[in-house]
Amino acid sequence: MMHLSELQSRFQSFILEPENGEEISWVGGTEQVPSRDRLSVYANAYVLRLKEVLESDYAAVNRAIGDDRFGLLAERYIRQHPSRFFSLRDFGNRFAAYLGEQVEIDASLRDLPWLPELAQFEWTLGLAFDSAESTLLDEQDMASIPADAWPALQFEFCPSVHRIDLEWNIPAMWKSLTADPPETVEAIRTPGSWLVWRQDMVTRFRSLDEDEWLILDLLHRGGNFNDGCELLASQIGEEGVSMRAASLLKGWIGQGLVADAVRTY
Amino acid sequence: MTDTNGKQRPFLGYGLGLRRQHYEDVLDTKPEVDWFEILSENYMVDGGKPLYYLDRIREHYPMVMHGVSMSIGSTEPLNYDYLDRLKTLIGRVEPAWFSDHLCWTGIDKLNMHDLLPLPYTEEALDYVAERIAKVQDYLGRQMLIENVSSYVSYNESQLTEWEFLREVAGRADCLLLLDINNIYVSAYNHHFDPVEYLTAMPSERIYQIHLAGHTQEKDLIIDTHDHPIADPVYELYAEAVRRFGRVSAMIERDDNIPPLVDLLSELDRVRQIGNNFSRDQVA
Repeated sequence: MMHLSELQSRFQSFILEPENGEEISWVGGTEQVPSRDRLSVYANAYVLRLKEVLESDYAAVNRAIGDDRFGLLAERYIRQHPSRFFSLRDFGNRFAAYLGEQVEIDASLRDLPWLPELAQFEWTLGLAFDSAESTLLDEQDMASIPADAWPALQFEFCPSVHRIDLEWNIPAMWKSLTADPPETVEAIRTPGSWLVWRQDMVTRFRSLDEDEWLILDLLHRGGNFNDGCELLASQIGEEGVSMRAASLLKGWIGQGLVADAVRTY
Repeated sequence: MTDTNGKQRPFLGYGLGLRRQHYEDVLDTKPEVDWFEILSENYMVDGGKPLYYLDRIREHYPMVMHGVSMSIGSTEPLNYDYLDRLKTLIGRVEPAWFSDHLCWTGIDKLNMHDLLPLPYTEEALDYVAERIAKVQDYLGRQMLIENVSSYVSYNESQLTEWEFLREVAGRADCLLLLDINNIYVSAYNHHFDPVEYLTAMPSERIYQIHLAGHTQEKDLIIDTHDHPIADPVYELYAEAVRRFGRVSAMIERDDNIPPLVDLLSELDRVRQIGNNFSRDQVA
């Protein structure tokens, strides 16, 4: 007798490798529909379902390279990275990294050095889409902070806030590729940092100047307002610091990036 | 109709599976749907639009929760991380009940994201019934188990699917979500009589009915949920209603999703069949 564990092992092996040539003696078949054809319904559905997930999560990547090239890459990813998640939402989490590896080793992808970044950008938009809600700091909250608390003030950013560093003009490409009708924009090497976040249920992104991403990074790592001002001074000189700090903070508050300000003294 | 604990079986009326394509329409038009079923996994996220719409629609409609990833029949240990997230969602939604499938979805820590059939053996029966009982203990409530559609049958099977399902429900003391389309699909694929299946079901445990469309291929029917309900499935539903009385029933549509108004007219036909029975009973 074949036990449940043995049957499940054989079934799953068939789904993952339908061409493994194993004789199927454990599933019944009929003349019209032999056992292999019956099992193949599951094997085919497995690949189709996961391909649909990647097509939906990486719609711009798909449009950028066309269905045939995308389909091949998706199938290879599906074979190499079977899902370890209870939700399909997470299945594509390694696709950008996978494309990064493939671009290095697959000669047919040499003309697409920007492809992993486009995938990473799409995935980051997805992360911002359903990340946790949080409190939002508003201008009134800021005004109520006493002057002597400011130097040691630490900031907590909303969970949806992500920074992404790009070598290519990915946001412009993404906008064009996802427009209706989609358009193609040439890939141009344009290094820069971008901020991705969600505000009022809408996923947003914008570019970051160098001083802004440096201070955001410092504050995100637990640096306080005084540390941030010193960093700004090293970037733009002492005289412009208070104006720049105030302008950055006002922007962050208005865009719904800051969850809380914590007094640490 | 009373259930296994002597309680009156709750009747929610006629519902639809909630799909994101209809979020705005539901809130704007408050359609005459008695309740919605949500796919639990779609709302096991930290925030954003899914939970925003879930909460707002829940304010206006009763809900039930339906999962696809419990993998109750897998030889892998139960995933307590999943069960904890399910518990949290139950706390948020306060559903009338929650359900998952009589199936397995993967082993070796992998997920095939499919509802894979079980062999109908004594071994599987003991195993699954014990796992359902464990889940019910852990979550502190009875769950509904749904029959899946299938394309294979195992040579090891000793029982029919309906014998297996009835035994599982009895031993685990769980409730049933009877998918009429799945019975029809499997009956075609495995050449059994769907009415014999219905006859074997313990009426008092059936809390919910699923209806959906399918795709007829050359020699198999595939459970695709991308078409309207087929006429023979309506007929089988009418047969179920005659046997079981009023059961909360709903339409599942997962692909090729039409405007909400189309599903509402489909639901009218479901309601008519269900209510015809009620009139017969009163008369």
